[in-house]
Amino acid sequence: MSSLITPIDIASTLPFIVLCLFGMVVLLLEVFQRQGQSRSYLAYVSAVGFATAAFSAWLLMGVEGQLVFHDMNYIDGFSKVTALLMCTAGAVTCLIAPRYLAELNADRGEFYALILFSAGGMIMMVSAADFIVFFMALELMSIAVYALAAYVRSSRVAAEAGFKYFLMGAFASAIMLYGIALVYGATGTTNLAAIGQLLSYGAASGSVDPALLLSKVSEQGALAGAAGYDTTTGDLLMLNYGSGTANMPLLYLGITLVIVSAVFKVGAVPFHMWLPDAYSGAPSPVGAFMASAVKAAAFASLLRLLALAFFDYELRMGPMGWVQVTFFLALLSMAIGNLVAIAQTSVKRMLAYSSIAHTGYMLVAITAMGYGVGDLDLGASVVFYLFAYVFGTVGAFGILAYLTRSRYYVERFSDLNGLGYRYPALGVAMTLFMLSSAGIPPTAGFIAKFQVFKAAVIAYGAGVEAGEPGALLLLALVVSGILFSVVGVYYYLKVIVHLYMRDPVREVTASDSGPARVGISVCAIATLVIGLFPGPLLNLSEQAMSQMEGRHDGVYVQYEDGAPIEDLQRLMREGSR
Amino acid sequence: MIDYVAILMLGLVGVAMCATVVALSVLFGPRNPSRWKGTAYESGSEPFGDARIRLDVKYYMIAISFIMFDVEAVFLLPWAVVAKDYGAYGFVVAMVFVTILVVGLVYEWQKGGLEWD
Amino acid sequence: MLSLPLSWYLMLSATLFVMGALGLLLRRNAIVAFMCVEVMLNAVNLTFIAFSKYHQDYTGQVFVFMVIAVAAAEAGIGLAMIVNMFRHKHSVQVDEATLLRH
Repeated sequence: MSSLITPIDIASTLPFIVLCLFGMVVLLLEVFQRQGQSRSYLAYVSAVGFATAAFSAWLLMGVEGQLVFHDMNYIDGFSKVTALLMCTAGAVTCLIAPRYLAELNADRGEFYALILFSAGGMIMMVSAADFIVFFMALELMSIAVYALAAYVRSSRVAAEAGFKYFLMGAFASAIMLYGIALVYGATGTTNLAAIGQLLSYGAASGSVDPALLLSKVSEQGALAGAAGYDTTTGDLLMLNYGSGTANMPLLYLGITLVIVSAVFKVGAVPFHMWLPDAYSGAPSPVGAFMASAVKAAAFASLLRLLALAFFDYELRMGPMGWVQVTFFLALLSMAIGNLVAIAQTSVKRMLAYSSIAHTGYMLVAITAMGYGVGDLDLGASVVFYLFAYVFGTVGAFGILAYLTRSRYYVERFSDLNGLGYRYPALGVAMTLFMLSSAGIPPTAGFIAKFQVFKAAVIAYGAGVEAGEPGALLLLALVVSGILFSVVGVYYYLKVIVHLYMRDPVREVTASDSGPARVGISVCAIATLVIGLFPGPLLNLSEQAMSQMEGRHDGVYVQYEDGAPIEDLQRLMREGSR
Repeated sequence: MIDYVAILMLGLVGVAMCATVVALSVLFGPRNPSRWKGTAYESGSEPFGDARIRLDVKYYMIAISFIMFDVEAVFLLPWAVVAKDYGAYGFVVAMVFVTILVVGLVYEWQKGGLEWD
Repeated sequence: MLSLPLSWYLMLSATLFVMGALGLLLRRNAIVAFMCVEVMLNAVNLTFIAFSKYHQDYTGQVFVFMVIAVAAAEAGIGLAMIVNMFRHKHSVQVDEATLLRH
């Protein structure tokens, strides 16, 4: 039978398999151990799991990019690099957790198992080549995180935060599914790259090779009927099936729903209402995980989705194109995120709103990527930004989890008063994370912001050259982005002011937790080293984008009302002969 | 048509077995009727009445376990249909799936999720 | 055999989906809100099956299997969370969940 799983299938999904196996082992270790014994060693077990997964992703670096598991998954530069990112975030989360959980009487193995499963879902999601796998992986990630959000059962706040997060997340998933269903209806396939090709041909671009599509269609067998492409008449059924042209609005509705729910998951304004509650209501280690790994995974998969399926010129720049959507979302997220963060008295909520602002900066890069001609390589700045962002965020949340005040969450600004002198290393680390988030050199955050704005300026240049309308708006986005990051400096510096310039509060002490110290140090060192020597990571993120398999590079066609569609059908007819 | 005889036989044997068991217990079983034994579901909830009563939380726990292990049929059934075509390979793949489920079951069992109280 | 046009299925499923979405946004009872999510997922299933039949392509039906499984997992975690919330507050009204409002 031709459908056997090959060794390369197994090998290429090794990071995922390793994480899931470790998750199951941790679950079993938890239940076969006597109650009351410390579970903190499980943090090390899971950290080893993450290290193994990261190592296997590293080993796979040499493997050529390709489709595996019956065209369900990609193994390519993008999936490997992002897998490294998720593993790092997951490992650090596991290291900062045990002390915190022990203090809340929640020292149970399920925490680590859920983190492992969730990270497995993330890795699967960013390597998905098909909506089926994409959706399953998204849910594997989300459902584990819902449970994590309500993990501390003694806490009423966590119970509420978890339930709200769950309800919002389930709502977003349902919307995404409906969008997927409509896209499937319009294209007849759930394969991301195939959707990208079909939509592109459907939207008519004269410079594509119809023979290529034909070969693709016949090669994939079932696609021939499914694609709605009738090889005998050469008609693209997807343009005129059902009730006449009614399917085009359906297609656009589907794409809009998919993108909206993806944006919901990354927490961009105006789809951000759930985010501050979820991040601040959840226990700090979980907050760290949600703010870093979950957001990074959502962004990476958004990149993959846009690059593979929805990168056609008309879909990006047309009257209902997503570039306009991401433009406004970026602007709103930067504005609301930064301005509301100023008003916060809780560090956790401040970090939550600042993560909305970071979403805005990354959306600037995504807007740039989709603007005009469309340059997917500009997406590299998002990958780089994710690395910088993850280290800064996990570190900051990690420090909040590291501090202790007799069974209360440490989360107010005033709780940090004077800690910089009592715990010099902690003070330096927190300062680094704040500087990085604010985008001040010599930290990773500075380079990341620079890359993002540089991408927008490059897109602006290309847009002007090509005579695209509204290229100046892109420049306006950069300027407002820079202005809003200046606003952001205020609240990040406020943390540093509290650390060093206020009288200390006695009740708050740093805990004595070795693993947490290791985790936080890793983040601090990474933040500094990436800031000083960004070269290798820049290369890595560029590789991630340039080696993304199945990516649909924008075809730049200026065309007038309706004509190219006829053109395409003629070309297809000729091609089929 | 001859194919359906087997199904007919199955139905008849089933009915006969049920009837035998019921008849035996009616004939030989001791009888001490009481009010609680007379209810429709012994130690269950009343089948009639207002639908908007609040159910015990334990029912939700059972519901959770039920849903989790109920849906595995969705994946096992398609495999069962083509099990012959896929042979040992399909069996191994299905067993991987079942093993993962068993890990979940073992976890639930050990955590006490299968106990009523 | 008489067969209904695709658009009928799509209209039915769209109606179901919107009903679910509105219910989720408007109803205050956690369990009802949660049931609305299930209605939305099943509306999606119907859309998938209708398109699957229309395209003569099984991918849509395979997707439905996955959605059913995921819906079950979501139901499991959702019920657990409702039970957890009930233990804290002895109420399942969503608008009473106000601890996080600052």
